[in-house]
Amino acid sequence: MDSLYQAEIIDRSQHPRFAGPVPGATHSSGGLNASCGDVIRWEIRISNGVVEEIRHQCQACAICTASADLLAEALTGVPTTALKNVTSENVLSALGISISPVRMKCAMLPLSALLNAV
Amino acid sequence: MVRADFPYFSHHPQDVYLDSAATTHKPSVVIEAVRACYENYAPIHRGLYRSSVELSDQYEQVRSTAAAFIGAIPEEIIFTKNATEGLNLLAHGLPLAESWKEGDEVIVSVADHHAVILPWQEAAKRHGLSLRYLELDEQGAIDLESLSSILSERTKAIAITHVSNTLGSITDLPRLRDILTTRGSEAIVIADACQSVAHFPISVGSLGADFLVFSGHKLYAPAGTGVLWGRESMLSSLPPLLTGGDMVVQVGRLESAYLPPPQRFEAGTPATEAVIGLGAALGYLSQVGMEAVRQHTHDLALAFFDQLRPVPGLSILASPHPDSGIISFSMQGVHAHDVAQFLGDRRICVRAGQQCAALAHGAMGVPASVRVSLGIYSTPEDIAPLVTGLTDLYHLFHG
Repeated sequence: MDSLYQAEIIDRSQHPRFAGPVPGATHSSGGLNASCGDVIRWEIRISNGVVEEIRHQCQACAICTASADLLAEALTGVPTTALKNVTSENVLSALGISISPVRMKCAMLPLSALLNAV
Repeated sequence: MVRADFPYFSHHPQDVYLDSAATTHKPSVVIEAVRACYENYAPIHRGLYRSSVELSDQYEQVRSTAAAFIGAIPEEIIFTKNATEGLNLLAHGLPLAESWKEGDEVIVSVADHHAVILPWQEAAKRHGLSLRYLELDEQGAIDLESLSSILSERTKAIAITHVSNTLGSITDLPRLRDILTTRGSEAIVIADACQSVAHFPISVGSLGADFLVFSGHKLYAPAGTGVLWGRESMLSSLPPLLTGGDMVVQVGRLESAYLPPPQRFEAGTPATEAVIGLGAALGYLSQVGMEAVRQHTHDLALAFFDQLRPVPGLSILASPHPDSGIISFSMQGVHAHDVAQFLGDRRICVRAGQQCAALAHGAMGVPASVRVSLGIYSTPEDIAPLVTGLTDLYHLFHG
């Protein structure tokens, strides 16, 4: 059952498209999963009610990093109201893989940290 | 070594179980002892009828078995629900002594399990104590030689892991005692023996500790059991953590008098069946022989070292002692959780994360690690699937 590590997930974790700091960030937040040591930091620049740029800095597992990167891609350019309404179902749909209960906290750390930012 | 004695492996023949530092499987004799206990169950210590008397005798016999297992006397053996309870009992009770004052110091180490550190953090807050830390040496073991630099006349206790559950290093407790003696320190030494007592012989008489704790479930016994050993002279002045039934001499409206140790520390109805199982586990280990267990762990760990080192991208954390049966590692460019998940999907059971030792990981400069840990049922046949899995994983992530 190596399907958790599909090419897309590994590629996103190894070569994230939305990693790094955001120049002129207006919002930021962090999240930590103390049991496994995963750490994420979000930086967001919001202007006129629109997410102009959103990036993550992850020191985390492939699932967590891929989740963050897919979230950032989905939220770039959307109204802030949409950002506030992101759900765990949205995250799972973007990941497109079946997540076990144990790994759910990995997949959801970016979302919980993101909601703290806004 | 004795794999056929463990029903888990007949129920899960495909499993490569390398997570014994988290918990061990139970041999048939332990499972049978628990079943037999339930079939002859009765409240212990208080029933004036045959089944109660017989089970009470069995329960107290386990105390003698546990004492013999670590070279102690039965009066020094306190049954707890696990090592964590024992450690909390000590951090709760010791600072209540009149000799402890605000500003006194307790030393722990960065290699310690959270169950060692956190109770003393809480005690420090409650009593105004100062918490000081032993760091790691260049090999990643606890640097005992730096003890002198943080030891003071206000050091009241040193709580320390005997075998690190992450680093696999063994703390030279007799050496620690020598340093204290040389410095004229009367600091109390508390040893967390969870990861040592299952792997090699321990005799508290020569260990250098004043208190020692371990959990049953890491020792092939049922969960819900643990042992706190303490020197008789120290136990006699230690207040209980829990109060209630089965630990009192006399109860008044405002004051009550408690039984002497060990009963003073065993308030309430215990997990009798689990303690009976603990007795069976200790008897089983004694039959196998703890020196034979040590040799098995040692030889197998060396074989794991030899075959893990060539795995691409793999770095073994610190310098684990082969007697510990613990090997933690990281893989370049792959998070520990991904390693464990990938292996788990192949039914190779390892642990990943910070293993309740966040400070040890911080000291080693890694966010998390993967841990392989051996039991007496581990075999050389466990190595090849692990090595193949890790090699495949490396190539999956790195092409």
